[in-house]
Amino acid sequence: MTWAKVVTMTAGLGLALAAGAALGPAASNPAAARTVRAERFELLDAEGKVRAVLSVAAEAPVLALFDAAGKPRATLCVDAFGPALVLRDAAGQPGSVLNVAAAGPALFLRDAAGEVRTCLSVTAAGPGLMLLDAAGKPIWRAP
Amino acid sequence: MTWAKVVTMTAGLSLALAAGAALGPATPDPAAARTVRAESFELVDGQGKVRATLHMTADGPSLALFDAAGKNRAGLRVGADGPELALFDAPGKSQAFLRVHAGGPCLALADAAGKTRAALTLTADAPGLMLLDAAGKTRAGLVVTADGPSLRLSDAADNPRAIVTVTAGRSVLGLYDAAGKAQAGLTVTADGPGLSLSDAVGKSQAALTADGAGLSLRDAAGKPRAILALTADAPGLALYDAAGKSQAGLTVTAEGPGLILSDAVGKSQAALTADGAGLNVRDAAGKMRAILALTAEGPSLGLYDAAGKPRTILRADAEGLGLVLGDAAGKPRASLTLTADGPGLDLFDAVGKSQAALALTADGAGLSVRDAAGKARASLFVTADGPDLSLRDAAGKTIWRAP
Repeated sequence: MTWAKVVTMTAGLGLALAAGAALGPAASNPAAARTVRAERFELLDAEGKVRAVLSVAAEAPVLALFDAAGKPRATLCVDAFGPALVLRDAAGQPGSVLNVAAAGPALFLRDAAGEVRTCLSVTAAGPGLMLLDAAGKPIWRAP
Repeated sequence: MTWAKVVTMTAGLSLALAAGAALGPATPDPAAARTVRAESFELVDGQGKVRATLHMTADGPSLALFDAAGKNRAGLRVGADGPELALFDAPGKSQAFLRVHAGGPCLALADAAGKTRAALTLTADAPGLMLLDAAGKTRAGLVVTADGPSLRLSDAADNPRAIVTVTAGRSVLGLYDAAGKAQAGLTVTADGPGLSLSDAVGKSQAALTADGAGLSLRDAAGKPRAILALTADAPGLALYDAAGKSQAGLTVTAEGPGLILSDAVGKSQAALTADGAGLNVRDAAGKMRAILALTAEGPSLGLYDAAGKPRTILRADAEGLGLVLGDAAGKPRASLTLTADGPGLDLFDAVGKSQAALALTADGAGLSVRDAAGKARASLFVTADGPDLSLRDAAGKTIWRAP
């Protein structure tokens, strides 16, 4: 891979991120006929199984996607700690987490036992990458 | 970064993770409408606040989640360039961004100022991880290409200062100065490891390998000036002049250490060994001209002429000191000795026969002169009894004596 290419890939992020911010909170307009308002939205499959839910749980809006077995496999929520995307394994255990907490954004990759094995984060001190062993002990970090 | 802080960051996930798990699959409601169509869906909480919207934008569908304060904290949309997921901090700045576009997927994490500080990318060529400083300079980068992985660490001026690469045939660590000049390199190939140190302009000044080539030191012109090597046979040190001519060599073999000094054209001029051969000094023609040796019998010094004939030999052994002077034919013609009996001088003819002898013993001094057949023909002694001079004929009979 050429380093220039990597730089080029990230160069557009500023604009894209700004565009993300433009998603903005939609103005609440109960009178709009083309808007459906509810406290919970459910997406059903052909068999009537709930495969996706958009709801407010514990005061946090959550979008959850379920597999055919009914296990949540992906959730996107905004809770008191901040926004988080969680990807789960077939048992429903979180495997990958991308979140923004008070300390900054972070990506966590967990093993099958649920231990965090990789952490990529940005805090006030700067970016950092940490690899951990099965016991949760750091084995490599940069910087 | 305090990693304790990062670990703390994971603690905050518990609620979100639990919330996700607690959602569970809702019980299907047979009466639910199979399809609900709208241009916008709004999720409201118990207080009627909009906490999420699913709506269309000019670019495409967009899902936005809002916190209790009404701030957009998460957005998922599919635009013309591809899908994008963005997570925002409380003030509304993008902190995490995941997108897939024509160039490939990319995950970016930003700091509180909204600057991208970490990026994980995957292009058609390779995956890459970059860590950036607050000024937007890439300070650490890791990529995996078809040739192998490569890690690059850079300074604040965006100059790479350390690069680690692993390819099929070699592993390389390169260290560079602030000007981008290579300063040190550590390489491991099938031949073994190698270390190279360079000067300010990036020229290799010293190299250390484990393949028998050993340690080599180079001058500013890149010429090897010193090589320290260790082969299966023996260790060796070779020193070279600016023209690349060997000037000195030091080796240690099974026979012992040896030192060789050479002239300007690289010819051996002097050799020093510890195997009895001692110190050898040669002339420009390569002829041995002097040998200083130390054997079990004692030290000796031999001087030779241009033809290689011994002309002077000085030795010290158990019997005493001895100095022998030879003629151009290599025959000894004079001998000066000092033994326990006393000093003595012998003069020899061209065929090596003693012709005259002068000795000083405990009994006194004596001079003896012989003829070509080796017969003493004249002798002069001075003893306690006084001087004695005698002349003999060819048969050894005294023909004259005094007093």
